[in-house]
Amino acid sequence: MTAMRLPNGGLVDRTQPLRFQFDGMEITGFAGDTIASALLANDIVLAGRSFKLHRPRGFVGAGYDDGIMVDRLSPRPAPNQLAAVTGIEPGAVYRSVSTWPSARRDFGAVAGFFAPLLPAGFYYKTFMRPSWHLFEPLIRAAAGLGRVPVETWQPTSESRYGDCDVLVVGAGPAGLAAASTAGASGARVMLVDDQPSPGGRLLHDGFADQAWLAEMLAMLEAMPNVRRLPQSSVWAYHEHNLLTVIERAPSDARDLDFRTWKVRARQVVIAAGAQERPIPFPDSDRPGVMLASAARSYLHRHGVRVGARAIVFTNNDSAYATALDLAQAGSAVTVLDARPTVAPEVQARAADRGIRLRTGAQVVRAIGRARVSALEFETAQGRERLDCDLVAVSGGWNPAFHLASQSRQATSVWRPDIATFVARHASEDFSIAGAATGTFGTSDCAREGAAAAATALGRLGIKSPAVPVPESGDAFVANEVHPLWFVPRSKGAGKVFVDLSGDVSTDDLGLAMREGYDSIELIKRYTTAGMGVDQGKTGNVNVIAVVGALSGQPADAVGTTTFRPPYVPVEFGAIAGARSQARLYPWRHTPLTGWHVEQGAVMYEAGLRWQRPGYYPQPGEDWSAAAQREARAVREGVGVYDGTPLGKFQLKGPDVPRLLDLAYVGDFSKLKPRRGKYSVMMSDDGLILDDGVTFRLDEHRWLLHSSTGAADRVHGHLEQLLQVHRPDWRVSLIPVTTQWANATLCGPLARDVLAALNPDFDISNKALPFMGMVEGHVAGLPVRVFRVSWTGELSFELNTPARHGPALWQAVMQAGARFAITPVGSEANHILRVEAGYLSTGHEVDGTADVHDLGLSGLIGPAKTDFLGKRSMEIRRRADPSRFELVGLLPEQGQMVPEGAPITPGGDRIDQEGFVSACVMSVAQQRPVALGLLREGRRRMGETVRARVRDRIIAMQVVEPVFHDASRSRVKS
Amino acid sequence: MLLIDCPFCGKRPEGEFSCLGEAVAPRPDPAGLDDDTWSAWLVGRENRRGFHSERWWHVRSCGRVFTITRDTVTHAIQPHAEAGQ
Amino acid sequence: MTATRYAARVVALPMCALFEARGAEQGLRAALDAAGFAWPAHSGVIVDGLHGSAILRFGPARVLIRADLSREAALADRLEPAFATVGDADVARVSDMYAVFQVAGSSAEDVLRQGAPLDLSADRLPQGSVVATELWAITAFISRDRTAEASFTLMVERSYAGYVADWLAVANGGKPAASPGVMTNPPRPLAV
Repeated sequence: MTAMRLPNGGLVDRTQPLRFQFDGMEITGFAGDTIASALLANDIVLAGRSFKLHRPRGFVGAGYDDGIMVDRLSPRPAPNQLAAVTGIEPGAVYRSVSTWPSARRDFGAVAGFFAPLLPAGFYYKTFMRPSWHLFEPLIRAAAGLGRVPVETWQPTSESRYGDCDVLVVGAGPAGLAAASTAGASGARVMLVDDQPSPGGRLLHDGFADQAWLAEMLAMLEAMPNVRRLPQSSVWAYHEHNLLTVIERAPSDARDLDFRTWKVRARQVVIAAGAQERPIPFPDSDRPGVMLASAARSYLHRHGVRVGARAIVFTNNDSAYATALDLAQAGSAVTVLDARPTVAPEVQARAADRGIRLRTGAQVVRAIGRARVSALEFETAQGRERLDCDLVAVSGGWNPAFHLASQSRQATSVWRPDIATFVARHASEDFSIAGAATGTFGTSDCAREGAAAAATALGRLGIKSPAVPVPESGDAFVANEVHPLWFVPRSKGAGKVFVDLSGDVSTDDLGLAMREGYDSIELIKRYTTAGMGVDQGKTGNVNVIAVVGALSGQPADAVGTTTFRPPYVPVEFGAIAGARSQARLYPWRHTPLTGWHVEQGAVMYEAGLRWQRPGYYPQPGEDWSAAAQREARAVREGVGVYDGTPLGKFQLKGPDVPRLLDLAYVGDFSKLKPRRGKYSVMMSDDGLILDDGVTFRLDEHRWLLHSSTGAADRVHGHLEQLLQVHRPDWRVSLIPVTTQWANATLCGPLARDVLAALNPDFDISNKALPFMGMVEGHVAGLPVRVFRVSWTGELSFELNTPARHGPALWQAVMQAGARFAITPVGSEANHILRVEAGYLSTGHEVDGTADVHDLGLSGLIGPAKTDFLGKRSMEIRRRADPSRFELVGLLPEQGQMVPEGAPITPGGDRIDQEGFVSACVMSVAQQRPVALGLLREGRRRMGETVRARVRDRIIAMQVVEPVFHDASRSRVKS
Repeated sequence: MLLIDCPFCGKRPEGEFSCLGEAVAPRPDPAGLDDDTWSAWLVGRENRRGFHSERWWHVRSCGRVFTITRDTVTHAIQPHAEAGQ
Repeated sequence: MTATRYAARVVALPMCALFEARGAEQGLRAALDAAGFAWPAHSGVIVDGLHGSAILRFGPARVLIRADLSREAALADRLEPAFATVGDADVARVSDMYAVFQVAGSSAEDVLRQGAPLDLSADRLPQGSVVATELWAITAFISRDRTAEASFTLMVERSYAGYVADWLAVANGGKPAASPGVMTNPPRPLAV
């Protein structure tokens, strides 16, 4: 046993042993263990395989900087759980990833022998011919990460917004001081930390400063204005201080697995700490090689001593803390320090503990395959070999400035003293404190945290109180780093992996550069460096420095890549929260939905999230049969449909006629009260925006109808016109769409049904003609009736305040019963409007058509010198008068043509000369009829054109775009 | 999600608004303009890096259209010259 | 999911009388004055009006007048003639457009903030004030009631009432509310 649990120590609960399985082995850990610490306590150092080359891999870090993942098969099956941050559970079953059959015996490791065949950009080069899709399944099976378990777990998640005055990221010394300062001022504070308990490095470092930690915790606990989110990560910093947080297993809601917070923070204090970086050397990815801070963390947090014969390889003082603590725990420790000299007091303290120190040392390579067994290293005395079971490495520390970078308000600058990048910014929105700025001493960090909070509070105009900071000094701090980025591969030595998550070696980086990728952003994408599970937390700065070394420039000249969310892996379910099913989109319903559903209507969206009846199938009918029956009823008898969603806007004011004349192509000034006018609305780019009927209710008030799907668009269009372009016009506009429920009677018998409803008004064609309106009562209910038709039949649109909608509908069905009134869904409506040649937004009105294209030139007010779109339409038509024009199309073999099918000359695979916008089985003609847009179609009546549908060509005759009652006598009857 | 400073309602989440794009001049009378001048008004946009003027419609609240000056890189929004009510 | 995560009480309230007035500030003020209604000095602060009504102003050009549904006719009799006298402001009866919910209890804010990006804390939304804002991607009027216990009244377009009821139930940690409509995909286009 070389890695082992010490008899005492650590923050685990030794009274609570927990048993679980890993790759079929029974493992015992303690409550408080992570999967990683429990495996290490059981001397399991090989925990997975690298995802590309299947190299044996072990734990490198002790937190989110470690990339080892396991699949959790039970409970709550889920792939790719980070082993170094996931707590163990009794009875859980874990499986290593990228391995088969297990991490120890992995057949895929044969890929390692082919490593020379898997260079950078390998996929791009190798699998492009004949097609990537041919190779994809094979590659996905061999590479990739965890496997999604067959039975997947559906986490319960909540997503919510939050606000606070000060959001503190990280609960280490700096974060605790910041949160307590801000909290004591009375400000609303959120303190987010990724560990189960606060303290940050104080938890990993042993027992110094524990009294101060306890004092801080007691203070924060007593502050109701401080919300602490343990086991939570700030993973994105968006514009205007909106930060996204994932809270895992929230303590205030036991049924929740995750809660996503979208927090608007008035101020942010980033105290996210720093991450230690390695010094990559040949085969330094062997299990048993880990970061010095991780070895120390496992020792103090979990009571696990990860090696009995340890070599500490460092270029700075901080690793000496690990060396001393391992020695104290009984390991034999040798320090290989890359620096030529080490401070005498550091040397003395190491010597006191019996630690051997070699200065000016450089590792040559690691020996051992499934686990490191020895190191070869060089000093001035020459090359030596030293047996070991643990290599603890420290190449310095990288401040975590990812969030600052995500804010887009910070740039990175090089700090030569600590040989890394730190954030520089002049933002008034956030401050950075502690190790995240490159300050490493505990006292200094706490002081900086308190100062950062004071700055934040000052910006909010809040006075900041003083809080205690710890006065203890740290013996070993990485305040000066002797840069050593990697040890080049010497003859016969293995590869030097710089990015373990992405399996990227110095060879890959060199190859990418030789192939001409000279920018760090390109090198990243070509090699996938920094794109793995740890998102480059550990290896990124080394990658930059290696690129610098290989190209002969300093690291700061190479620059950093752009940091993007997420900072840590985040479950999709946590982001989605409870948004699914009926809560996926804001579906809308009319007051008549209940009735439709009772009648067996099939409901689906028909524009702007409105759920509408598509058709009302009777027993044995499919949708087509139902739609045919409904459409026939309208042509031959009477139907009724729910037209509630049609957009309605109440306009008033002396300048409404001017507004309508500008917004529509038609002439509204002379429209008489109680009359309506159909027109087309264009935008100023000369293309159709919408069409609809506007009624003049009385001298001053008007009701503008938009199509259902365009209601919001038309509203915005008109408001912009009024407020921006014609602010002096006196017009008020109130949207009233859903004030009204609608039942539209349509068909030759519509007037008979209306008469049976006991109207208190004259319904004769003379008193209430086409495009006329009346207000009164039917069946004792208040109604506004419009004579508009979208079916090509006599129609009465009955509108009543929505509260009366169901009653009106019942009355209509009752009165219509003896006329066999038929409820009509949107499918039948579509058939009817195509037969009648009426336009539909999204079909013929597709955003490329103007008013002439659709054969509506007659709608243009003849005397009008200007309206929206007129000028642009003229310019466009002058430049190219050859336009796609609305035509009717009759498929010559009587077959249906899919909507959207392209029409090409001769049906060849060449540029289209038009397309089919709609095709229905006509009830009037008993054959498929279609509408389409065809280049110069109006001059081509009688021609045969061809639509191409995959490999079939459908010949169609060009006809007038109306298939029923071209004279419109029926709508006016 | 931005925080848009409405002169009438104060700073509000972006979801309450509809962005109407760069603040162009009020629509000119096309009769007096040649094609190029008209087209420049219609589609010509500065698309500036840094501070630019843009219009927002506070559709969910006061319904007013107003202009703000926003930095297209940092999203910083300049305060309104005169306070709303 | 049996336990309720939060202890909020969600109640669907009956339809209320509601009038929406829009227009230029001067005309709007003049018409409201003629009808006997005060112009709220501050946008978002609810002011009492005639017939037990509440006056909700949003900026210079939009006012809602809300009352018990039994007062609808009386309010209409006052408002409609008054607005007929001005050219650049208008009033519309919109009672039927809105569904009203009450969300009450110490965790009411936790429920609403799952859909509302806007800060609804008592500092920002004191008792007797109202905001028109976004709630689960639709528009909602949210006011904080004048009660000892935390309580909010929300108005959303009635067409979204089922959607909002469903969200409120789930956000409170309970089962989804019965959805009023069946949703399916539209039929596939005919085979060619």
